[in-house]
Amino acid sequence: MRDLLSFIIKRFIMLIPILVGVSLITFLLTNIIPGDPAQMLAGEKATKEEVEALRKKLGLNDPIYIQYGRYLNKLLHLDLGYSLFKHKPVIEEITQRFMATLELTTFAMLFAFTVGVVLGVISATKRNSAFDHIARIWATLGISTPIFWLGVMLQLIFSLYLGWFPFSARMGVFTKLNKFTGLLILDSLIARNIPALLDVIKHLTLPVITLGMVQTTLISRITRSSMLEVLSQDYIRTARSKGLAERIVVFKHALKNALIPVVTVGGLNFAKLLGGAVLTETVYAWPGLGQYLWFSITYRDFPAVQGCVLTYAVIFVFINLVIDILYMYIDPRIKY
Amino acid sequence: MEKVILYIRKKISHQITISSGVKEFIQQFARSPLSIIGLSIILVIIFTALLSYQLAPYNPIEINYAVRFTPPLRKGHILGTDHFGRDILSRIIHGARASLWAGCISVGLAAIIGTPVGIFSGYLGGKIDSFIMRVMDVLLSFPSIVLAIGITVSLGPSLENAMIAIAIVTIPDFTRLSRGQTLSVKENLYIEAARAVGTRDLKILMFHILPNILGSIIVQITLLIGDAILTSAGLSFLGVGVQPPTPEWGLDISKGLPYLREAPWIPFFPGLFTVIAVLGWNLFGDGLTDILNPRLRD
Repeated sequence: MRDLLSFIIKRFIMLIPILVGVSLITFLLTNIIPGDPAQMLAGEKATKEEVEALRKKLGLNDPIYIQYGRYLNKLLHLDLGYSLFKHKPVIEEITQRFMATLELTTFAMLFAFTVGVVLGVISATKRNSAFDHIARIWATLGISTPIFWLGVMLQLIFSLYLGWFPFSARMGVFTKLNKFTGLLILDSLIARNIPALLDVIKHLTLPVITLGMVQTTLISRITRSSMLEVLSQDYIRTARSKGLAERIVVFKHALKNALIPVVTVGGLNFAKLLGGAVLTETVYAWPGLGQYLWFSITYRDFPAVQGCVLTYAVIFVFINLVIDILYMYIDPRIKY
Repeated sequence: MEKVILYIRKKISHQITISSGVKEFIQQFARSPLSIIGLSIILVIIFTALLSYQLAPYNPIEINYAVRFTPPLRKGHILGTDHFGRDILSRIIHGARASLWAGCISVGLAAIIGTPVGIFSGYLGGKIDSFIMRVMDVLLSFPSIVLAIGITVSLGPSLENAMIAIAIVTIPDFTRLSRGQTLSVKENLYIEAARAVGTRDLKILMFHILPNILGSIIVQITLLIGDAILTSAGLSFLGVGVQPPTPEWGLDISKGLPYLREAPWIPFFPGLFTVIAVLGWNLFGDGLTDILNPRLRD
């Protein structure tokens, strides 16, 4: 336990230079703009006087290190700038939308782990069977498919043609639900509002499948190879020779150990999931961070783009920290 | 005279070794049908991109309202037309250029920058190595498409800037790989021998380390081109990559969305061709991995 605690403290200290680096990159994004950052921040319609006033107000005439120091100071006070399009602080919009992204990515990851592990285990136990070959082809196809196109095709088939699922959004217009946490599934469970729960699940299904699909293929491939390795170990032969049922050998003895690399790689791939969420949210009009980033791009709202990029990086860095801690917890042999 | 003969013999035997190596490589490659399919797809895309002006039946940006929303296989439009009456097949053929350039140039650029940085980092070690690796850690702290969006928005939306952005987010992949490989190669006796006879560091890096890690780098390039094509299409889909009316697959998917119900072929075909192109690179990369670097498989 003490080991784990000192590891967590060490990892937190290591986060500081990374976060400083991240802030430096997002700061540089403003300063690599070809032309005048003040003009860009003020918008295309701004007059010369307005641009000059903004330049003075933002201190853009100061040396760059002073500007960076000021930017860092603002970040420490959770000030990510002011949205030109929404006319409110960027942080406000981000906090409002964060839960929508969290709900989508969490369920996408759960979907990917469940389906990926099941497919991987079947592929490994039925190695070189027709199922195994189909699963491998499907995995290669999965990582070759643009996530936004997959989303559009699922909308076309399951929403427009078959009418099984809603086309977009998080919840029906006429669905009433009191929001406690911002996680709609949890909120509908807390409120014991079954019609709302069903509506939220229906809205969540297609975006979750879209976002989780690539991860599913990756996880099924890793589970397959990890299972194959574990199944060839001596202790599995011993378990089988004891006369244990194959089901117990596979699920109780092999899968537990095979899951360690799956958790690690799956966790590391969370970045792709966050990146994919930008595209998925755009396709499904999902009111999360990704959709906000897309709005900001469309309306050339630069402070908002900068704020979103920084938020994504910070979330990603903390997810990696959690995964490292989880990894140490799952596999006690690991020492840092 | 004897020295000359010896030199020629040495050269010939070297040539024979190389040609037998190439022969073995081709034989191994030919044994994998999926790799051949991958290579064939890539060759078709390269051929299409190079001869797009000759192959495309129509001008890809020519607007013709008389034939807008024509379904596939009607009025001489094999894949139909879009909301401006532009021929979808012609746009896909021309879009192959953007896709190919985006994939190859951005990954090539990342390899050219990332590989030497990684080799130097691994070879020199110490504080320089730690500093370079921390910089890479910072770059890897961003989901790649998000950082690419930030860079492209800053530089201005265009294919060239999208390629620069993809190259920047891909550099850490090459730096980390080449550093790791250099760390293992530099422990070999022949490197120590080269140092002992006074070979300069730069020469060791160029002629002893680089050739030994080149196989892994080539595999990495082929595996990352597919990813780069997907990222580039994603950037265009979001509006920060290629700008209209230039034909590009990701952009064409996004522009077809408002007409999804009436004309699903507008976003369908560009997406299908993106899948085929990326699949080609992935299959080819998997095949190369098996031959050049079997340890990387799975």
